[in-house]
Amino acid sequence: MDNLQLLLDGFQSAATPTNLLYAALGVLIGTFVGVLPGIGPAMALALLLPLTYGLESTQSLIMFAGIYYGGMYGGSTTSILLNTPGESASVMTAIEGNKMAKRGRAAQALATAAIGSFVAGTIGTVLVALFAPEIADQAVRIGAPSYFAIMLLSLVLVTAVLGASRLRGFIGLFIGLTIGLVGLDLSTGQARLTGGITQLVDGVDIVVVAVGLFAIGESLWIAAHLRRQPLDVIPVGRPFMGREDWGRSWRPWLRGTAIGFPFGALPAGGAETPTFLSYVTEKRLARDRDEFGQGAIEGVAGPEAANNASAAGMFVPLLALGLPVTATASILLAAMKTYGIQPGPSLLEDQADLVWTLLASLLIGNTLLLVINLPLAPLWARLLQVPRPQLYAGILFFASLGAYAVDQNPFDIALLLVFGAVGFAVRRFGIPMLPLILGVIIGPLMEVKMREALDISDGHLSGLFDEGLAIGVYVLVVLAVVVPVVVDRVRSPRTPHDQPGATTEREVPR
Amino acid sequence: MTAAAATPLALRALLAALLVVASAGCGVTRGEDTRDLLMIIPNAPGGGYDQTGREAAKVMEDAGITGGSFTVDNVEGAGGTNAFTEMLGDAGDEHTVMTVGLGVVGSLYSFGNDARLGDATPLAQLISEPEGVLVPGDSPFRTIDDLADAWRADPSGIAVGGGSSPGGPDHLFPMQLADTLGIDAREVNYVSYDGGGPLTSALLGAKIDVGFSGLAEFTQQIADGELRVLAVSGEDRQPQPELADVPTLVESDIDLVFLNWRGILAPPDISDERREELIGYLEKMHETEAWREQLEAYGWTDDFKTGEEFEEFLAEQDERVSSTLEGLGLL
Amino acid sequence: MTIVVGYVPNRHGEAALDAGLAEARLRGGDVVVVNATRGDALVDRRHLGDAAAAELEARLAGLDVPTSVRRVLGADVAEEVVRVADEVGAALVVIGLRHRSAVGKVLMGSVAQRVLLEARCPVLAVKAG
Repeated sequence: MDNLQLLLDGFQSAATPTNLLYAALGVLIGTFVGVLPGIGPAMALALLLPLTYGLESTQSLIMFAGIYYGGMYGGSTTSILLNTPGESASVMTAIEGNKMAKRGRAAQALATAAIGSFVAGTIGTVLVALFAPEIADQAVRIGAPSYFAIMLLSLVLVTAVLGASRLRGFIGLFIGLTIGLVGLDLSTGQARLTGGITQLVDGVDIVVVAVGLFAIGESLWIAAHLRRQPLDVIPVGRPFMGREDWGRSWRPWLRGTAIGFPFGALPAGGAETPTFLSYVTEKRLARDRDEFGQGAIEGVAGPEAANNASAAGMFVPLLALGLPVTATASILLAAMKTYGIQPGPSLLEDQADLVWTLLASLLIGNTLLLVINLPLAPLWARLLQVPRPQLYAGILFFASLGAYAVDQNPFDIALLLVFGAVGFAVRRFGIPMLPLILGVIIGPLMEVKMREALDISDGHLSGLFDEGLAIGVYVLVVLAVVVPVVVDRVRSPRTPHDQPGATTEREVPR
Repeated sequence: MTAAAATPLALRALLAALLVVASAGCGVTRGEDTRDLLMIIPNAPGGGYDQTGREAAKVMEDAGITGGSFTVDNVEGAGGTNAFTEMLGDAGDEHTVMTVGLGVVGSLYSFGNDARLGDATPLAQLISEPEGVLVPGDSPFRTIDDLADAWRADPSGIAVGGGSSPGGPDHLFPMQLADTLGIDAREVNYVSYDGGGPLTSALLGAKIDVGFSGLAEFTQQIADGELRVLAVSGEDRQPQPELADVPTLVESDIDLVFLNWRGILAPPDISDERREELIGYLEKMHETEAWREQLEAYGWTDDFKTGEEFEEFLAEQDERVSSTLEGLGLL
Repeated sequence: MTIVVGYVPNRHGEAALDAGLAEARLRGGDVVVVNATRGDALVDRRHLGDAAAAELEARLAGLDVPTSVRRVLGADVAEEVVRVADEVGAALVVIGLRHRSAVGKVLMGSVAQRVLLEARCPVLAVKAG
C-alpha cells in the first residue's frame, strides 16, 4: 500500500539515534509530569511544549510525541496506585486499578495499562495513517441525534454500576447530574445553579470535579482514618504479569481499542464515554463478574486501551479537518502550527512528509513509552511505600497546583476543596463514586446534544431519530433494558440462585 | 529500599519547583513609577481577543512605545464578564488595560450584569472584523439571494448555527440579518455551538443549513472548498485571496453592515493625563508598520477611533445590542 | 533470661534472628521476636504481615528454643523495640545492620543506631552474611 511506504519513509527520517534520544527524553519528562495528580495530558503538554521549541522540526515533533504519550500514560499511574486520577479519562482506570493495587497487584495493573496503551495507541495510529480522510468523512456525518442516542445508552448502562444499593447509586447519579447542570445554558443564555457566582457561569471544570472527588476526597478520608484504622499493609506481590494476566488482558485491549478509536475520531466523541463503555462491556463479558469492583484486571486493560485508542483517533479530525475536539487537541493544533503543519483537508497532499514523520514519531513515542515504563512499573509501585502523611500532603499540593494552574484562578481551589468535601461525604455515606462522576460527564454532553438535535428540527421530536446510527443505538438501548429482564424471567423459575449478575449487581465500593 | 523510593519523589519535588516558577511568572509587581503595563484578555489563549490584545501589546513592546514591557493575563469566564468585573475593581489603577469587543457588550447583558463598557475608561477601538455567511461545500444555496428566498419562505425551517451563545456576535449577526430581510427574528431557528470547532463540524456534516461566524478560523476549509462563503458583512470585500471573490451584503442589495470590533479600555477613575498618555501609546502603535502587517495577516479591518468618538460608538453599540436582544425577548 | 530480636522480613532480619537463636542456645534462654512498624505507609516491606507472621511462628515452633513473636504498632520503631526489651527484662537485644550510603544517612535516621544508644541492656548488632 502506498501509505505504508510513506509511513516507512517517515520512520526513516524520524528514527535516527539523536531523535530517539529526544523521544526518550520526551517520554520520561511527559510521564513524570503526567504522574502528578491534577495535571492531565492537556496541561502536561501545555507546560512542556516550550521545551520542544528551538529544536529542528523533526526533532521537536518526535519529542512532542513522546511528551504526549508520556503524559497520557502518567495519568493512569496515580489512578492505579493512589486512586487519584489526574483527568476524567483515567477515572475508570482508578476504579479497578486501585482495587488491584490494594490487593498487592499494583505492578500488574500498571503493566496491563502500559501494554494496553501501547497496543491501542499503535493500532490507532496505524489506522489514522491509513484511513484518516475516509474516517473523517464518515465521522462528520454523525450528528447530534446519534450522540444523544449513545449518551442515552451510557446512561442506561450506568445501572450496571449502581452498586448493591440502587437507592444510593441513584443518589450518586443525581448528585452528578446536578453538578453537571451548573453553568450557562448554551441555547438560551440562562445561568443555572450558579447562585450568582460569576465564576460558575462557565460550569465546573470536569478536571476540578474529578480531582476534588478522588484526590482530595481520598486524602481527607485517609486523614480521617489514619490512626483509627487498623494497619492494612499490602504486599507488593510479583512485579510482572503472569500467564493468567496476559490471557485475561489481551481481549480487553483489543475491545477497548475497537470502542475507543471511533469515539476519538468523532468530532464530539471524547475519551470518557468510551472508557466507560469499555468498562461496562468487560464487566458484562467477564467470566467472574463478581471480581469486578474487587480489582479485576480486565477493568484496567479495557478502559486504558480505550483511552489511548481515543487519543489516537483524535488525530483523525485534527489532521483531516483541522478540528480540535478536546482540550489536548487544541494544544496539539497550536503546537503543529508552530511546527509549520497546517491541518486541514489538503494536509495529506500538501505536507505529506511532515505528516508521515509525525505519525512515525507517534509510533516511536508509543514504543519507547512501553520500553521505558514497563521496567518502571515495579518502581512506581514503590510510591506506596512513602509514609501516608507525606504522600497525601504531596497529592494535596499537586492537586491544588493543578486546579489553580488551569485558569490561574484562586476560585478553582475553593471549588476543588468543596468537591473534596463532597468526595469525603459520599465515601462516608457509602454512595458509589462511579454513577456520580458519570452523571457529571454524561449529563451535560447528553443535554447539549439533545438540545442541538431539537434546535435543528425546530423542536420536533423527529429530530432525535433522523439518523440511521441513532436508530441502531436506540435498538441497543431497548435491548439493554429488556434482555436482562426477560432472561431473568425465563431462568429464574428453574435456577433462582444461578443468575446473580442479572438483577443484583455486586457492590462497587466507590 | 527507601532510598530507591525517594528517587521519584526527588524528581517530583524538582518538577514541582519548576511548575511553581512557571506559574509564578505572571505575578509581576508594578510600582507606581514603572513603565510596565498589564493587559487583561477576556478569553482563552488563541481566541479573538487574545490575538488582538497580544499582537497590540507585542507591537508596542517591540517598538518601545511605552518604555516598559507588557504582562498579558487571560481572565476567562462568562464571555468576558469576569474579566471586565475584575478590571472595574481595579479602579484608579493606571497600569492596567483590557481588550474588549462586541462579545463583551452582549455578555454583560445576557449575564444580567449591570455594568456597561462605558463605566470603564474607553481608550481606543483598534480593529473591526466582518463576519461571513458560511454554507457547506455542497449546499444548494449558491448565493445569498438563494438563502434569503428560502429563509423568507420558511423562517424556522432553516437551521442557523453560530459559535457564540445568545448575545454574542455570531448570534447578533443572523438576527440583524433576518431583521433586515424582513424576517421576524423571533422565528429564526438559531443553534448555538460552543465555539468555531463544533460549528465547523456541524457545517461539514451539513447538520445545519448555514453558519455565521468570523472567517479567520475557516480559511483552510474555505480554500479547500469544504465550506463556501455566500457573503461577508463588511463595508468592503475581504483582502485575503481566498475571500476576494465573496461579495458584501451591501453589494447583494442587503442593507446591512455588521462588524465585530475590538478595542482597549482602562479601569475607571484614572487621571486625565494618564488617559491621554495611554491613548497616545495606542495612536503611536497604530502608525507602526508592524501593526499594519498584523492587520493584513489576520484580515482585520483598520478601524481606529479614540476619545469621544469611541465613547459614542460604545454607547451606540450598547443601544443596538440591547434593542436586538429585547426584540428577541431575551432581556 | 530473655533475648529480644528486632526482626524485619529480609536477610538482615534473618541474620539477627539466627544470631539471637544461637545466643539463646548458648545461654539457655528464650527468644522474643519483635517486628515493629509505624503503620503509616500503604506498603511497608519491613512489616510482618499476617501470613508471614504465621509462617514465621510455624518455623520457630519446631526449634529447640522457646520463642514468641510480637508485632507492635507505634510511632517510632526503635522505641518500640526498646520498650519490649524493657518489658520482658531482656538480657540482650539482637538487631541486623545494613550498609547505608552517605545520602541514605542524611535522609533517614537509623533504627539500629537508636536501639544501640537507647537500650538498657547489651545490644548485639549483626551483619547479613
